[in-house]
Amino acid sequence: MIEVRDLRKSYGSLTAVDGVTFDVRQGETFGLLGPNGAGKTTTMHLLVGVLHPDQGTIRVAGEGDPTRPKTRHHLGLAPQSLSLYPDLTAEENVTFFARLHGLAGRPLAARVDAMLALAGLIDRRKHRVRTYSGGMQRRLNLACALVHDPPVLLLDEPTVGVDPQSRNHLFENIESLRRQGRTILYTTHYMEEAQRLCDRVAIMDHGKILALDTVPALIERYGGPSLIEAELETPPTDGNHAGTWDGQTLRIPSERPLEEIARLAGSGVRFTSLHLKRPDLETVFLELTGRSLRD
Amino acid sequence: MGRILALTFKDLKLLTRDRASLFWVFFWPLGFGIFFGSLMGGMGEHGMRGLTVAVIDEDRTETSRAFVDKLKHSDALSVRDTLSLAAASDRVRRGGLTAYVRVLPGFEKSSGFRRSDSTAIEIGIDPARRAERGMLQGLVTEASFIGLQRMFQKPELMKSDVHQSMQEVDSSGMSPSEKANVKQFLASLDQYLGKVDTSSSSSEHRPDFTGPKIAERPVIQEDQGPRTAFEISFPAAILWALLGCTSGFAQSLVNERTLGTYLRLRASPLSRAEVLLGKGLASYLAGVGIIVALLAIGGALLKVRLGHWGELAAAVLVTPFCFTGLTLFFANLGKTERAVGGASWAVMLILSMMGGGMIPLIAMPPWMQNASSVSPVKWAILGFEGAIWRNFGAADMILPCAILIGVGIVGMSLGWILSRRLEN
Repeated sequence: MIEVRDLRKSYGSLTAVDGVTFDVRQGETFGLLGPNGAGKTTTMHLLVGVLHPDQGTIRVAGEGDPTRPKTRHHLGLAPQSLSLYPDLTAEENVTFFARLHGLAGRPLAARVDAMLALAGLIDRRKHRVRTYSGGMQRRLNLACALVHDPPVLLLDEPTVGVDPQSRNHLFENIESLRRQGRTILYTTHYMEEAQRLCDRVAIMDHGKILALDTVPALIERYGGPSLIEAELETPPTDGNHAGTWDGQTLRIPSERPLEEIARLAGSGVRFTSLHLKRPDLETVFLELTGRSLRD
Repeated sequence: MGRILALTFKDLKLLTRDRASLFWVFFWPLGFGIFFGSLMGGMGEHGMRGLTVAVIDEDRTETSRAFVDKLKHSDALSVRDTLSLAAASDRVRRGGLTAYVRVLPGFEKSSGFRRSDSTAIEIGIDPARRAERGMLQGLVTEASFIGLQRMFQKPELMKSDVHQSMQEVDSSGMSPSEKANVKQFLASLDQYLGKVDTSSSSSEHRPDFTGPKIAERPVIQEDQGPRTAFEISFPAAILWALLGCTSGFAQSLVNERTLGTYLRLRASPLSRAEVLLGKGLASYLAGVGIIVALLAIGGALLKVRLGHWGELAAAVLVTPFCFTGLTLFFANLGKTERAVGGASWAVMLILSMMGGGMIPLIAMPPWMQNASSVSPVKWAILGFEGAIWRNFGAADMILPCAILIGVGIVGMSLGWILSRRLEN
């Protein structure tokens, strides 16, 4: 559905996107995961044709270059910033963006109603957006991106600044869209979101894609072993473990942590507390870049 | 086109919802027009200033040229001597000139002692302009004595004139006693001239005579200038409204960028040109609407004349086009509302100051009126004044309209170029 080949974009001496290549398959939710400044948003702007790449090609929905207005009809963008008119009502915002895509008459009215329902804003449709909470605005931001029913949805950090309740509402919306078979490109710097929502994830840093695969495959390849952290009533007497004892906590890295815990328990060790830390995308990012995703 | 109109009407809707913007683009200019119109209330008629006259020399003699030079050197007159009689008369009729002074053939002859019943100087002026008429009569009379002055400075010229006069007296229909008296006077004068020492005599000791006959020809002006001060203040008010629109819509485009909605517009099937067109159309329609509203109020309540429909329509349609061009130029000058707002007002205040937005064009000294030509504000005001009280015809509107369209096109082109730079 989206083909990106050797994409490069610089601003003066700063290379924002440096030879990025990936495909997003039809019906797939594809995540671009990386810290702020990794080049995710620039990639997104290149994908919607607002920016022209210095090098490389993009093909969207078989139409080709998104700098052509016709191609962009297949795309729905929910930008990172709340791209809404605060002095228009929710209904006016959605209607306006629908008209930009050529909707009119009854189909327009039906789509506007559907999108306001999706955003949970039917009751507030006549209220100006400036009176909405951050979460309501985020939901409306998504509704405006979907109003013309695009086959490809581009979501740029859609949960930034959102309260937990609205975040869950957004996740449910996105999962519903996923089930409907819509192709979604999702940028985020929250690994939990990428892990929950994305079929495949590309980890990006300094304008480059460092790794690309499904989440389990990435973890398996780069995540390393799980880590068992146990506080014991008495120091371990059995030296038959690969962990370290600092006088209070026993730390054991293990590919098979449950078996290791069972073995420890069987050896008579009495636990005060036990914590199992499985590898995740954060660990993967740390392994790939040497720093935390949130640095 | 539907997409562009959607963008346009969205912007117009936003304008009506922003009370502060609405105040600056409509209520403030309306207040400006009414306040300054009221302040200038007693000055509805043209104030006195240097008279602009055309001089047509049909005598083409040394004396007539000296007469024209004398007029040209008058501090109270601004003389144009390149117009034909018909053109000068037309300009007077339209109010472009205060009067014309026509030096008829035989002027030199009538400037001496020979009796002449024919008119030597014709002044074309509207009789209703009493003050200017009296002032001009005095200036022309003073200048017309140049012929006599020359004769007293050159006695040989006067002697020749006296001899010709004596011959004409013989063949005239005067009674014998009258002939005798005149001939006696002329003989005495001839004798006097023979004794005049031109090197030592000063002109003040020489005799004085009535000058050439001056006739006045009424040229009724189609218009007497602004009928009320509101006819001066409202064109300026319209310009302030357009300046407000220009700055407001320029900032609205930047606001789209800072809000992120510009990204969404560009991610839609709208091209960059269509986005600019939609924004420009909103600015243009807002300008037209506000001008129509201001003129309607001025016409209905404040006796601003709206009779020249064609010329007024040209001004109403063309002027916002110019300012739409400026809107698109300013909108792409910077990345923040502060930068664009600051730049647009800084430039437009200067243009307004130079172009008659602050001091009416009619009250500016001639040099400043010339300097103001670099400002589109001047041509915009001139267009509206032309349609309201300067009695411009279609031909007179061509220049201001062409300049305004030109500035609009240049502004749009620069805006287009700058927007490409900003996007990438």
